Amino acid sequence: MIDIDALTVTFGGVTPIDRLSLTLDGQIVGLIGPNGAGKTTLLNVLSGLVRPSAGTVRLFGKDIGALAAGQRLGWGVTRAFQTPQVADDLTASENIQVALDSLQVPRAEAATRLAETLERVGLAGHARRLGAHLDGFDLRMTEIGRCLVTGPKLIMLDEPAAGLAAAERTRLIDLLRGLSRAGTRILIIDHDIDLIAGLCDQVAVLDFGHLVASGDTDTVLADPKVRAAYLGEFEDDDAEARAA
Amino acid sequence: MAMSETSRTPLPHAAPRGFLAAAASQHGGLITAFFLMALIVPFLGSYWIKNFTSMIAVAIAAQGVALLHARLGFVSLAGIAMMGVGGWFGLRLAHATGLPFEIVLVLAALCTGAAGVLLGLPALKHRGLIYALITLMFAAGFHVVVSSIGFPDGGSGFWGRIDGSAERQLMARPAIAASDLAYFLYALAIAAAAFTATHIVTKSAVGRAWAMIRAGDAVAHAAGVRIGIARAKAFGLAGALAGVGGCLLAGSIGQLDGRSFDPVQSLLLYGLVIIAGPWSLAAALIAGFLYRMFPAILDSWGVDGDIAITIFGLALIHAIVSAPRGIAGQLHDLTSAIQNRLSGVDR
Repeated sequence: MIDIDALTVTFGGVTPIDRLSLTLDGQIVGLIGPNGAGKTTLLNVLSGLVRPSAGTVRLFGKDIGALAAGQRLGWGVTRAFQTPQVADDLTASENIQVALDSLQVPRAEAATRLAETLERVGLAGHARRLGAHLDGFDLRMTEIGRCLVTGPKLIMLDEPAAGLAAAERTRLIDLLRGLSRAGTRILIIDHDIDLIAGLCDQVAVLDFGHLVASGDTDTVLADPKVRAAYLGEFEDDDAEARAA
Repeated sequence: MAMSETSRTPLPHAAPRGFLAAAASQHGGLITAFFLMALIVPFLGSYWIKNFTSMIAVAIAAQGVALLHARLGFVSLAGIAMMGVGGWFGLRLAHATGLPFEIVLVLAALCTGAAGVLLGLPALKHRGLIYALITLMFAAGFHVVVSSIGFPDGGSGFWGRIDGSAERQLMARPAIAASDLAYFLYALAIAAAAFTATHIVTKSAVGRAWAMIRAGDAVAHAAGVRIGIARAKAFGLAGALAGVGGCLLAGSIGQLDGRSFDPVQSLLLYGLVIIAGPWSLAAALIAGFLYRMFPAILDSWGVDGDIAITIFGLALIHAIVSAPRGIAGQLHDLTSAIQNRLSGVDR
C-alpha cells in the first residue's frame, strides 16, 4: 500500500524525516512515536501538503510525488487533521459536500453519496447544523465524512480518538472497522496505544524522523526498542542494572 | 485579519431548508430595506434621490469588499478605487461605442472583474497586512493617474478626453431610466440582482470552496479545493461588483471626477464594511448608507458632514471590541429576539 524510500523532509534547518524507508501493507496501519517523531509530517507528505526534499513515496504502486493534494483526493487518498478542520459557516452537510464539489461528481450521484455518508457517520440528524455549532465528536465525524464521501482507497487519520468520550471512541472504532471490512485502507496516527493495539494489524514506530520498528502490531509493541523509545520502559539490561 | 478572527462568527444553529427559505431567513431585513426604499424614496426630493442612487452604487461596490473580507479573509483597501476603475470602463465604453447602457454595464463589470483578478494576483503569495498595503497602494496609484488624466468625457484616443474648449459629454442613461427617480429605481433593481447573484454564488460550490479556504489552506488543499482558482473567482466577483457600482455612479452623474476616488475613501469604505458586519449581505447596504447618506443627513441638519468620520472611528472601535458581527448582526439578533418574544419562545 505505502512504499517509502529514502524520504527526507527538511524545513529550514530542521529535518523531521531523515532518509526514511518503510513499507506498509496492512488493512489498518498504526503510525506511532513520541512528539516530534515526524508522524504528522509523514502524513502531510502522503497527502501532498508537504513536498519531500528527497526520496520517493509510492501509494498502491504509483509514485505520487508529482500529484498535488487535490489530485491525490481524486486518486483515492484522503486525510483528516489532528484538530478537526471544519468551516464554521457551512453546515455539516456542506462541509462534506465540498469534497464532492472538488471531484465534480454529478449532482444526482453527489446527493446520493452525501446522504449515504451522513447516515454512515451518524450525522443525518445534524446535517443542517452549522460547523460553528457542532460538538467535538460531530466535528470529527464531519471531517471523516468528507473523507468517506470521496470513496477513498486510503484514509489517513491524525489522532482521531483524541478528546473523545468512551462511547464516542467505541462508535469511531466501529466505523473504522466497518470501513476496513469494506476494503478501505486506513492509516492512523495516535498516542493511544490501546486504540492502536486493538484496531491495527500493522504498526510502524518513528522516532526523530527515523524508523524504529515496523511489522505486525503484537510483535512491534512487544519489541524492547519500541518499549524503550516510545512507551518509556527500560530494556531488560537497564532494569537489571537498576535492580543491582 | 487572521483567518481565525474571520471564521469565529456567531451564527444561527441551522441553515433553513431550501434556497428561498434561506434567503428570506438570512436576508429578510435586506429585502425589507429594498422594498422600503422603492416605496419611500420616490416621495423625496431630487437631492435625496440622487444621494440614494449614489448610495446604491457604493453599496454594490461594498459588497465586493465585504465578500473578500468575510469569505476569504482578505482586506481590500481599494473598494472605491475599483469603483473608479468600473466608472472609467463604463464612461470609456459608452462614449466610444454608443452601446446601450445595459451592455456597457455588463462590459464594464467584466473589465473591472478582470482588473480585480489582476489585483488579486499578489494574494497568491501575500495576505494580511501586506496584501492590504498592496491594495492601498493600488488605490493611491489609481487616484494619482485618474486625477492627472481625468475620466473619459467623450474625446478620442485611448484616454477618451476632450481637447481644448470642446464641451464635455455626459454618459447617457438607459432609455427606460432617463429621470433621476427612474434611474434610482433602475439602480435599485440592478443592486437587487447583484446582491442575489452574490448570495447564489456564496451558496454554490464556489462559496463552499471559499469557506474551506477560510477554514485553512491545508484543509482546503486536502478537500481538493483549487485555492488559486477559487481566490481568483472571489477577486473577479468583487471587481465585477465594483465595476457595476462605478458604472451606475457614472450613469447617475454623467461624468466622474478623479478627486472623489482618493485612497482615503477606499479606507473609509473598508472601515464602514467592518462596522456594518461583512458576514451579512445587508452589510453592504448599511455601509453604502453610512458612506453616502449619513454625512448628507448631518449636512441637512446643519451639522458638518465631515464629523461623520469621527463618529465612524468610534463606531469602528465599538464594532471591533464589542460587536464583531457589526450592525447587521445586531439587527439580526434584535429581530430574532422580537420574533421569539412574539412567538413566546424562550431563548
